[in-house]
Amino acid sequence: MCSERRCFVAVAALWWAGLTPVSASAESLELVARPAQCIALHRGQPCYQEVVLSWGALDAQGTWCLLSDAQSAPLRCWQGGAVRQHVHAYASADTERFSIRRDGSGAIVAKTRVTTVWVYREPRRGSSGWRLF
Amino acid sequence: MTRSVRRRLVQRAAVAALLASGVGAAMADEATRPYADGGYFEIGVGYFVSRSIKARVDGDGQRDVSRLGTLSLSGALRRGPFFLEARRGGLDGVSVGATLWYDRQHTLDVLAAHVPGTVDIGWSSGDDEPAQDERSRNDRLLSRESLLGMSGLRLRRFQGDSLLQLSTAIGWKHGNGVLSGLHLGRQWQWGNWSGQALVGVRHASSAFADFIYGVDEDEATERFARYRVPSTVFAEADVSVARPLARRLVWRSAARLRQFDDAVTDSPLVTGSRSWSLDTTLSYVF
Repeated sequence: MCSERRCFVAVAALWWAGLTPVSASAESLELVARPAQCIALHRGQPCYQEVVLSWGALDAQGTWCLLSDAQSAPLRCWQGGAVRQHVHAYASADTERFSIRRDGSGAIVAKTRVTTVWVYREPRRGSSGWRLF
Repeated sequence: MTRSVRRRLVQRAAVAALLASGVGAAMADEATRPYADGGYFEIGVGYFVSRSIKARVDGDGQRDVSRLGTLSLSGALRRGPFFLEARRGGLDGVSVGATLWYDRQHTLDVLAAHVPGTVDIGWSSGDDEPAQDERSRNDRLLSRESLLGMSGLRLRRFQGDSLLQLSTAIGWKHGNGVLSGLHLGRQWQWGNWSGQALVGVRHASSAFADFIYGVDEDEATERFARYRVPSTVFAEADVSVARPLARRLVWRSAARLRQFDDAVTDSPLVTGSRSWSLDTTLSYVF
């Protein structure tokens, strides 16, 4: 529980934050992947797809990087708020996670992920694999 | 007890013994299993074009070409060593069986019930009555290739994306014919396309081949003279590609070729040495 004074300060701060046109707020920025699923035939097969990653307005003063957990180097880095999307060649047998990081502070301001799903839930060698008698 | 009944009982007892001895071993070590539990069921609509080696009932020297829309049901289920496979696409058939033995690269399966081919569901009346006129008797001879219940063994060796299969199955009826096969297969993935190629040879015993392509004395007509088929070897190849269109929707196309030797092509029922089919299906997978 907060004291009366601290609670007032916190509510006021939240109200102020809500009114201010924050363009790089970590809480409000949404990173969207379309499509968010990639469909492969059999479990374990990698899936290949072009994924469009898009996000809202970022602080024009900042330097930003789009990251993937599938590689150590950033997918891209840029300065300012002009860049709003990136087309990524997805190739994964499970899930790839993406995030936008403010360069310098290292703060992650948005996250999303793309998941591979399969039509047949067994690996290719399983019951759905070989069609032969 | 007649000899054939006794033989059948011995065959079934052998299958039961194999099942009993092998299933325990097959369940022993899940880590080395080269197969996985699971299953699927799919319903498909498609288009099928085929050219048989058999003559058409309405014309000498003409081969039967079929073009038809298809509604297909297929699926597979495996729980531990036991499996049920009902396939359309690839080399078709229905099998119920169990894995007797395996290691990291091999499986030895007993096919308790094995029905090669595609099950056509239809309705007709009076089929058991002897056909009287010439045309009906010809028609019956040409459409005799129907369900053949069999039991047998299947040995598979997996190596990466390749498969080597040896199989042999004995028919339950029609002289207990034997059909054996040696097949090589390979699978590929190009982007989200999956492909499979199979080549192989099958040996059909005289009893098996004769049931499909032979003409008995009492079946012979003016057009189709008596013919006894010796054992035969035929080659087959199958190429198919598949692509997921949605989470539960798969498009699949296949081309198949079979090449028969003189033992079959000398039959009066046969007017060609090579059969082929093209098949495209859109399936909903449950």
